[in-house]
Amino acid sequence: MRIEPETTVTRRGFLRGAMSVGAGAGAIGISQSLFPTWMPRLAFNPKGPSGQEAANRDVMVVIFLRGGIDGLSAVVPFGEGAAFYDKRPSQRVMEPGGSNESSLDLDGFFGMHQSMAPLKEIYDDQQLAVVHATGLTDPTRSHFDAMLFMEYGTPGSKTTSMGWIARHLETASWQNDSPFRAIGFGTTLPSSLQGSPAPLSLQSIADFHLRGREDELLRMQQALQTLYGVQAPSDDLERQASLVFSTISLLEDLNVSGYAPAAGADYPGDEEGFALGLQQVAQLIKADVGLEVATLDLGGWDTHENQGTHDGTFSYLLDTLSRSLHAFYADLDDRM
Amino acid sequence: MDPSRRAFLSFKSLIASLAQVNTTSPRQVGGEIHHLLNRISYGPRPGDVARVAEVGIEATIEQQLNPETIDDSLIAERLKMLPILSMNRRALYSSEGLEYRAILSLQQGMIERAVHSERQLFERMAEFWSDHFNVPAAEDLGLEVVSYQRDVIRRHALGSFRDLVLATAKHPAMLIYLDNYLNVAEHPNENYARELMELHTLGVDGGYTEEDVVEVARAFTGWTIDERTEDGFVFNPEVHDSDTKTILGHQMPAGRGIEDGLHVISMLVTHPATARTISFKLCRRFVSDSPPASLVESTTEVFRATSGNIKAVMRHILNSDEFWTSPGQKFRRPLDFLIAALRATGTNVRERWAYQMLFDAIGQSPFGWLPPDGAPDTADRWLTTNGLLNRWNVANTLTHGALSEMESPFRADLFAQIGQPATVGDLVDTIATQVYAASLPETERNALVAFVSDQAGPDLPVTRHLLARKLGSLYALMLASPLFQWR
Repeated sequence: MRIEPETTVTRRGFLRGAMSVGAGAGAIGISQSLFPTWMPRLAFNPKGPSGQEAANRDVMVVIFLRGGIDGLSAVVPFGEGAAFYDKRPSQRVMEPGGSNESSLDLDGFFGMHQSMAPLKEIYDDQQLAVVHATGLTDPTRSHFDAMLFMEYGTPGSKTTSMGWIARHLETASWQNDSPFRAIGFGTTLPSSLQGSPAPLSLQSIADFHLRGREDELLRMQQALQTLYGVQAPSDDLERQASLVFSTISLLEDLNVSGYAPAAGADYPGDEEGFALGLQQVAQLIKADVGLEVATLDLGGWDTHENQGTHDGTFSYLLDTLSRSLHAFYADLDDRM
Repeated sequence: MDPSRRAFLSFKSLIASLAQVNTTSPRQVGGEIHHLLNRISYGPRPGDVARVAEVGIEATIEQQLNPETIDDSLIAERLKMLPILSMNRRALYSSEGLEYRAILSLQQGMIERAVHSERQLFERMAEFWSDHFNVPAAEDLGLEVVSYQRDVIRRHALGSFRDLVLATAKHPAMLIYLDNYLNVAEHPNENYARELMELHTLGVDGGYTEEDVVEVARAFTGWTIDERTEDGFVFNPEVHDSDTKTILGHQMPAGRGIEDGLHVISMLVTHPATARTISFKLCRRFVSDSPPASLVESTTEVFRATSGNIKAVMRHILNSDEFWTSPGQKFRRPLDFLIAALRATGTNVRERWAYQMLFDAIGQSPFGWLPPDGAPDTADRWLTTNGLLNRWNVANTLTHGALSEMESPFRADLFAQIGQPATVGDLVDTIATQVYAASLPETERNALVAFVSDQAGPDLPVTRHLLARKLGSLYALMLASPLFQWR
């Protein structure tokens, strides 16, 4: 499980496999700037090498597990034995075995929580890596500061006021004027996308259309376009309004509600809508609408007294996360 | 460095951290009264501007600062349909299965009051403190939040900040939400201690250390819940850590009990960093996402001089030059938008289930923010693509619902409200006056006239047929316009 810098690892292979669990932020696909120089060269390539089709573009899906996932209970270093368990007397995720507290052996040293079984399969196929002991360099114990530091990518400084993804998009050597370039799923904009030229927030692509009196909708849309000056948007409000219309028009061509996930992609119906969000990301990826970055949240990891081992909030959330990611992985199939 | 100097410097960095770059130009229509109503109320109803003009601006502010002087019998009558809100804790717990209804009642009560209460500034203050001392009405907390909102937040909303902190500290809703009921000498739990300093008083850069968090947690050991007491609070000396403590540089003697926690609250509410943090947040809520430093400074002085008298602090803000030069700088939060739309159009929600539908559709629900930091206040968090579309769709849902001849949960007599306008121009002006309490800038007026007249222009006569086809959408456009998103 210890990740060695191997020159044989391919960029795409690495990108699709990276998932950090240490700090509560997981990312599938990570841009090169985050890696030390000894790492193999991992150029982030949204358009693919020249000549490649758009279908091969890299997409980064960032999942923020808000509230702080207990990474040591998700992927437990049971191989440390007493050196670990003595320091963490409340730790109940144990070495692999037959009990409901035992973990799933990864490499004789680390074990996955049982609720992560769907991901174990992907791990065994060597398509998933776990990056442990990554996290914040700032010692703050404020949850809110910690999230902000991660999302701004500037530990210790809250004056950045621009998210790390926003900076990445703005300074990338390529640009892409698709309204779907950067999508934040949820009702508020994540700080990581704050300051992006035109971040798109989406709750549901199936519901993303203007509702009103049918025979007046088109004229109403025109009136809104005038009121919001979308022909030449001059501020954030007008840019967002402009995005609404370009998004509506692109989604109209997609047949969103007719989407059928690939065989074996069994998205769970979680209350938080996390799986649905991932399914929509998969759909947008397959539709080649210019998606480069999608962010999703799965919150509630601040489990406190309800953490439990195999029957508490923690295991419920892990189960949702793992089944959703597994479905996403299966759904994308050869696009992974 | 002396503590007040340090607090000042850390406050400067707080200001810098919170002042986001606002690249959106605020929009405004109307004059001073419109501005005042946009800030101290949930948006003007038809006729409100004229009423304030009659009373006078200063007198209106004084009235609103003394809500007990304002007759509010209408809302009292309306709230009779939500009896849960007036049940005491014992009654709430003695009936089975009230948890879910309690949450619905809280949410519906919040909207009812925001829409119909005459004590608008009071409702705004209750909302502010409810965000500041956030305890969501979720999961098992619903019943406690009924009492928390009524007996803590609303009781002290225009009172003394010290009383507010003390009452939140002792209420079961807070004790459970932030785990202080589990905070005992043998296993100190730091959650409440941390948020008490970070969110409720000093602010995250208020100059306290991790050591202070540990020590404050020790001071609050034994502050717990007991179902046998009237208010649900009890101090249990047996699990209290009575050793000496050092908090913010002060030594606390050994051998004390509940006095430890009371002493901490005293220290925190009189700390300069607290005065600054609370003043900054109030200025941000009532003036601008990036309030002028001069105003934050003078407000802080009033806070300190009056030992946290909330009414005096609000009087200062509402009478400041900075307040009066800030119209249109606040972006309505989703619920602000919803409530302002109900008020501007005189729409009634007649079915309980329709509230839940509206909250889902707009993307925010009362008492629904789960983390302890409270729902965000600033435009950079709420101005989103889907957020805008949600507003447009809710506007359509409300106005078309109100006009629908079929069974609809929304009722507003829009036809009666417009009178008998002769031309499309008159119609647009009449509704603009009703919704904005002001006349529209030319671009907006032209766009709406073009929509209603199908490009024929402002002189097109208004017919019943035209109204039947256009009225709902016209009202919706008034609410969906950029002008209505700012206050």
